[in-house]
Amino acid sequence: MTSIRLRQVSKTFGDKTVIPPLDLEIAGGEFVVFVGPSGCGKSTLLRLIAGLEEISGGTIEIDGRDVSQAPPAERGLAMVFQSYALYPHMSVAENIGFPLKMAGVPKAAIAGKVAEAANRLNLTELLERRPSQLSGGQRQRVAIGRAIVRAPKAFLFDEPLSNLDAALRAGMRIEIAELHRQLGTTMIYVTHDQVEAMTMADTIVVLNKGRIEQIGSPLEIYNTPANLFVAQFIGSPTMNILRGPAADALGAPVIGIRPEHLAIVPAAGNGTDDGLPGIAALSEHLGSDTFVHVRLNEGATVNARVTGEFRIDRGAPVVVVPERAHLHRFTANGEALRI
Amino acid sequence: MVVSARHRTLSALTTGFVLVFFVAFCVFPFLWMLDTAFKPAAEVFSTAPTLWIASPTFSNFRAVVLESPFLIYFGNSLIVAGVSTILTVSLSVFASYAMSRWSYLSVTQIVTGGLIVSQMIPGVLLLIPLYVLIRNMGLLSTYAALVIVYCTFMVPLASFMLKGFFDAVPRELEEAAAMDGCSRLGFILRILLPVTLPGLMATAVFAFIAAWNEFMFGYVLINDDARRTLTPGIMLFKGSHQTDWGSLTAASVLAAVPVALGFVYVQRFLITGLTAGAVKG
Amino acid sequence: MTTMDMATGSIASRPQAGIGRAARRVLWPSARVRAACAFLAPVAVLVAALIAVPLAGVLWQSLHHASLIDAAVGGFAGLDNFRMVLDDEHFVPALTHTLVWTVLSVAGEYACGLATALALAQPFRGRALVRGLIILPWVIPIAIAGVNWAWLLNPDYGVLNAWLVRMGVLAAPFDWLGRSETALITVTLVNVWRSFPFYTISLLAALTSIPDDLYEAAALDGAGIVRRFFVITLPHLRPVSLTLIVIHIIWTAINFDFIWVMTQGGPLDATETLPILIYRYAMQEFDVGLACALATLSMAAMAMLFLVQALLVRAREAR
Repeated sequence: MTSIRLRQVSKTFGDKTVIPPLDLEIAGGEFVVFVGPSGCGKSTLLRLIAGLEEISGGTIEIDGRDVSQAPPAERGLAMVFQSYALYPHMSVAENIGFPLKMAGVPKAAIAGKVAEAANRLNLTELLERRPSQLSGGQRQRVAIGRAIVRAPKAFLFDEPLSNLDAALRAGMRIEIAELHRQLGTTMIYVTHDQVEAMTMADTIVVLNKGRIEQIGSPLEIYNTPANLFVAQFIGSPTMNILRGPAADALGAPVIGIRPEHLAIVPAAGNGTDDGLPGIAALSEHLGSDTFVHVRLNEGATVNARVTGEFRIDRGAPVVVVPERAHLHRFTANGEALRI
Repeated sequence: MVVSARHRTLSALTTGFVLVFFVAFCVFPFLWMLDTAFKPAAEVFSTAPTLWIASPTFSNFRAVVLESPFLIYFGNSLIVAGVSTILTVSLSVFASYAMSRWSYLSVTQIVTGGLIVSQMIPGVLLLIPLYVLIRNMGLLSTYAALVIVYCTFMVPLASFMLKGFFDAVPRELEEAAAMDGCSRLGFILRILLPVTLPGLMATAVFAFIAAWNEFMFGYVLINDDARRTLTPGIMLFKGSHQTDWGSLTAASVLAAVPVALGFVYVQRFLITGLTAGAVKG
Repeated sequence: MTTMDMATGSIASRPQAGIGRAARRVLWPSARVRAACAFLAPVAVLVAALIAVPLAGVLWQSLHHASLIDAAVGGFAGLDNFRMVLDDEHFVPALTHTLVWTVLSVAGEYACGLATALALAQPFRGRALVRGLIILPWVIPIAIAGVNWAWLLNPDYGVLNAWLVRMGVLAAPFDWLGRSETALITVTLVNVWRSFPFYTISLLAALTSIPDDLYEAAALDGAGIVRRFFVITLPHLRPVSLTLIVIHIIWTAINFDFIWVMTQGGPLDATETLPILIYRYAMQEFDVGLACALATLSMAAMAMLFLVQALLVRAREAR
């Protein structure tokens, strides 16, 4: 159960600061997901931990040992890359056995461990193939095999599923989560896909411009976003934001409401005062749900999630009613207001 | 392309005519060379030469191989071109790695600039100082003289070509190797070179052909028949009073074989080599 | 459990880095620089010692008296060597030969290269084979090409003369390489034969990179096949062509091998070009100073050509 601790770790490229000094502690056995928009520094942070990039300041400790200066191989971590980075001139067996060979493990022992890893990942039939003869999902499994074979202290995943098609991605997500459950090893997983973050993580670290915006369990992050950035980044479709008088009326300079916390009622004959009047615009019918876009009279456009059977004509006057209990209140500069 | 039927016929005809003409233009000298090589002396020295060989013979080849220094020249060329190629490629691998991975370092940029400039300096202009240098080193008429010179002139080309192949190897592969406990040298030897093997071979063949074909330095720096390479050797062959054209063409055929074989291999890399600036006319 | 999210410390307020930390921050990049130096050193040393230093040597020697065989000859010559080169009765003919040889070679090579590239750009069966055959002359050593053309052109037994006589073009066999009227043009022709395939490959590469939809769009706009050639094909070939031509002007002008293999500058100096003259100064008259002065002049001309090309390219980019 390996813990990883970053203290005041920073990274600059020339005079450009990619990651201002940050602290982060990852407990042993945790599945941590770094999530954020592209360019937020999540991959850089992972590569700093891996030792593929040199840190510009601070220290990285793995199990209490300062590894800030250690080359990647000495950190005892394994990494799965976005492009899988399989060695194209080696067979699957040689790919999986390569880290062991580098570590000087005797041939017989390598064969045993490779067979074991292959068995776990359903690769036994493919051991003699070259990477070019494998499908994307199979390559991904070989990359994972190469990572698990040397029993690393922690796994690092750098957007491992982004090259797979949607169906495979869902399958691999489950496989990786299952792997984590079986091995119990610490895993750090980088993605820009919030669905992956929500479904796989024990802990989500939301990054933006090299800074940590929030750390928490998926539901914590979803239900109590620390600020406007997190609120809008997590959740699909994105949270609706109200400003100005409409927000003031609801008790904060900025109000966030998730689409599922809005109800739509016809405008005519509705006497309630907490509704926001507007005009129905586009309706997106997904089958199970319908997303109705409503242009509010005060200017903003909001998106409401209603049932799949819901029908409303474009241009019809409606009133949007937010659930009071699920309002997210923010200060003018985007920090969450906790009451 | 969108063309009318009439235009299409016309353009096909023109294309056909141009190609037939140029193929004949390009191939005929070789054909005639091959033809002469198999002719007995009586047919070679005929005032009414024909493509048809009345009594084909291997006697020219036999004469060249057994009764002339051809085999010595051939062996010298093999040694010089082979050693230069190995040395050129070995040095270029490291330079190209630096150029490919550390192109942002000023030391790399300086060396790269130097290589580009040096690639433009023609050998004739350096003939005298190089001759003097080699003479002062006591290396005249040695293999080493040609190997050193050929390496120098081929290293820039080989480096740019290899850099192109190395650039195509994803960085993640190197990072994966680093995670797996591979040192930089280990990565180059265990991953980079095997992965780029076809490109490496193409570069080597280009270097070999260039060394094999070189004439001037071989002519000037070697004065000892025992060390003479093939291209000056063949020219001296011709110069000896009564030219034996049968033997000369036979020698030419044999000398052309290695480059022709190499060429078959590199043909598909020609365009790549060209864009890397690695091919000189 | 993950804790802390203090991400706000600015660089200025960062706690003082320890000595070890500061040292490391310097050490890592410098290790990379050291590795780069080690990787580049052999190549750099080789090129510096055998190209840069000799190049400087040529410039220096051009201002000095020196002999290849007589160590007693020496001393500063000022511009004497240059004056002697320019006053040499061989100089002007050699310059003229160089110009004729270069201009005709490059023009012929370009014409042949363009024709074959356009033809090879058409799709047809066996294209790879035809391309291979056309490239053949360029792969074979110059020495072999030269020797075998000398055989084809041989006045007594050469097949070309025999055929020309049989076809009635010539009354009697002609010694193309042995007569001063035709030697230079013959050598030029053989040079075209040997060098044009390089143009073919380069132009073919450029041609195949022209997207088809450009032609289709032009055809839809009503441009005929000839017009399409001038409006689309030629402009696309211009940058490659410029580079090809400039490079070949230089390579041809300073080419030594070809002429030496075929005629050694003869007959009666009819094919003596500047590189041949450099060789003669150095290796036959052993006058290093003269040879270096001529080499320096050639280099200056070359540098000017590069400059002109650079200016042309820049002018076009500015446009």
